[in-house]
Amino acid sequence: MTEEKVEEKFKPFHLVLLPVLAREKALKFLDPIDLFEISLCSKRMTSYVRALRIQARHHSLILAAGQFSVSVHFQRKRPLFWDFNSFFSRENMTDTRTIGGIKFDSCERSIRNTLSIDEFYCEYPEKEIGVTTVSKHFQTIFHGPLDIVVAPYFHEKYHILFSEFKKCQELEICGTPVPSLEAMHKIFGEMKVTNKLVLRPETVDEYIIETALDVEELNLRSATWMKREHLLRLNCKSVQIFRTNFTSEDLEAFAENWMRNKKSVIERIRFDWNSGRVFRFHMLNAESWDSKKREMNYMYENDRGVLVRIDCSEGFDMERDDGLIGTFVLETVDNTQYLYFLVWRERFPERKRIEELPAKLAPFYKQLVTINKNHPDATSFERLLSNPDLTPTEFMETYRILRNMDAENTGDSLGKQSRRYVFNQMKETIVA
Amino acid sequence: MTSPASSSEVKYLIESSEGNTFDVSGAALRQSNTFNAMFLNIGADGPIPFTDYNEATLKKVFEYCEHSVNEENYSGPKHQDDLSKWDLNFFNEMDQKMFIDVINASNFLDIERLTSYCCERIARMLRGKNTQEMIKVITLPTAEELEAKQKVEEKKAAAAKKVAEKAAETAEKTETLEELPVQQLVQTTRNKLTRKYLSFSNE
Repeated sequence: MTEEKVEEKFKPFHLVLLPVLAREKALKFLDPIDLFEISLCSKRMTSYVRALRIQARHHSLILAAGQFSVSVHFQRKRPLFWDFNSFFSRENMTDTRTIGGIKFDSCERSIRNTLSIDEFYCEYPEKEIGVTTVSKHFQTIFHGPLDIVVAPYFHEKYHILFSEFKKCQELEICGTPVPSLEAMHKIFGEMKVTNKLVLRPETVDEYIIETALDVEELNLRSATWMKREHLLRLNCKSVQIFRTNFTSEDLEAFAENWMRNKKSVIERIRFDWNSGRVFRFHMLNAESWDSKKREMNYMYENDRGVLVRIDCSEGFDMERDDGLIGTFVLETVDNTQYLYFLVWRERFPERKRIEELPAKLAPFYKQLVTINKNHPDATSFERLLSNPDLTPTEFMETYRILRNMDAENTGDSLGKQSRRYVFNQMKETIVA
Repeated sequence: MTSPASSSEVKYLIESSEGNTFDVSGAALRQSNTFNAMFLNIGADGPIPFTDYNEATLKKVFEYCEHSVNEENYSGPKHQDDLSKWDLNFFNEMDQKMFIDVINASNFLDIERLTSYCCERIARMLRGKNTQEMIKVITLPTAEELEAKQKVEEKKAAAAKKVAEKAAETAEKTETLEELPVQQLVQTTRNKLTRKYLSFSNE
């Protein structure tokens, strides 16, 4: 006799009648896409979802050439996308959603697709209005900073975006055509960028981008608008500027200002330094490299998490009263000269990195103990490499020998593959 | 019989809004933080009055508590596939009103497990649905219904206004000085004089 299967029957109920705690608890069990859907039910539902104070890692709004999407990203939940791109032909764009008073007639909801994201596809003729409206609603219900990527040249009504959003964490202007003075006013007139500003196109000399001067990370295709006064006001952690009109005297003034200004947060500036200009200090007391004061290579981690080293053996050092060293150094890459100004928050970064290596390698040694226990077929070299008492130099030498012997060793056991995977990661950590 | 003892054999009497009483085991009742805070240490002299809730709701609440007495480690949200036959019957037996009442009672009695258990069900009801479907589940009026409701209310208000105006007119016509009490008589006379004075001064 088979047991009768009982289905869970759902009967409609009044969510608004629930006590606040129970309602919030129930809503917190939902994924962002469901919360988004329920927030569209009514203004009251929007306020209920907003009251959950769900923190988004960041909101993203892209209005570029051929890409019009809005998304919200979370620490632990799946991201939620709204794509206005009509590039993908969809068959079931028959849903309707009303957001911020605008009716989006051709929508399709796609959950947990191959990319493991929750997404809406939507066709709407006025992309600028569409992305602005949807992103505004996302930001209403999920709290978090906004990142904007926009190509003004390709979107006639891009200004709608900037009339709605006055503050963002990151702003990237893309496209090659130079934005007009009017466009610059529309974009930067009221906009405050806090973390990162990237301008891919060159910009007009007449417009001073005030928000660029104290953003955390600045990347400009051209900064001919920047005069000495702007250079002196520059207080960004990391700066990369191509095309400037700065002279050695401007940089000398900048260096003097840095020597005086203890509050400066500057860590790294890279100027495109054209060959026509001479880089020479007249007044400033700069010294050549002293290995007792700092290491040869300045180190920093780039956007991709890769450790970059800049050779500063030919640099000019300035030491401030508080012990901070700033270095000017020229670098030539493919016949182009770049001038760096680097601040040594850590005077001996490589030494510090080596000191921190044992702690970074410890988890790998733990993995190796487990692997060797489960697969006791390790060779003598592999056992040696699994020994935590090896210094990084000894590890690297042994690792090289092992790799050289690979041609002679045949057979790939699971244990060997697992160990090799861990050894490779250890090697990457050591030689980073 | 009530007792402050904490052994699971002890039974407590619960009183509902109808004044009816019924037994609940100490182990089940102790899942309620409200009960723990109010009665556990001092004991209750007579039935414990939970008179804001009816008998059926309270019985449903304590049915869950009795069932989950041995479920010490609550394992978080359950998906539809994880629900046992008992879980399904527990929910299916409730109508919309009772479901809300049980959540309210659970919230008042501060029975965390039951509240979570019911909230999971709400989440299951909503998960994967689009806005229109959600509106049906949480019985929110749609935009069209709201509009229709507003129109009806406006019509009603207009009709009520008409009736009130007509009533006022009739009242003024039929109003006789003899029928009014003295104070009202004085006030009415004063009002009439004021109106006369105003109309006179306007002329």
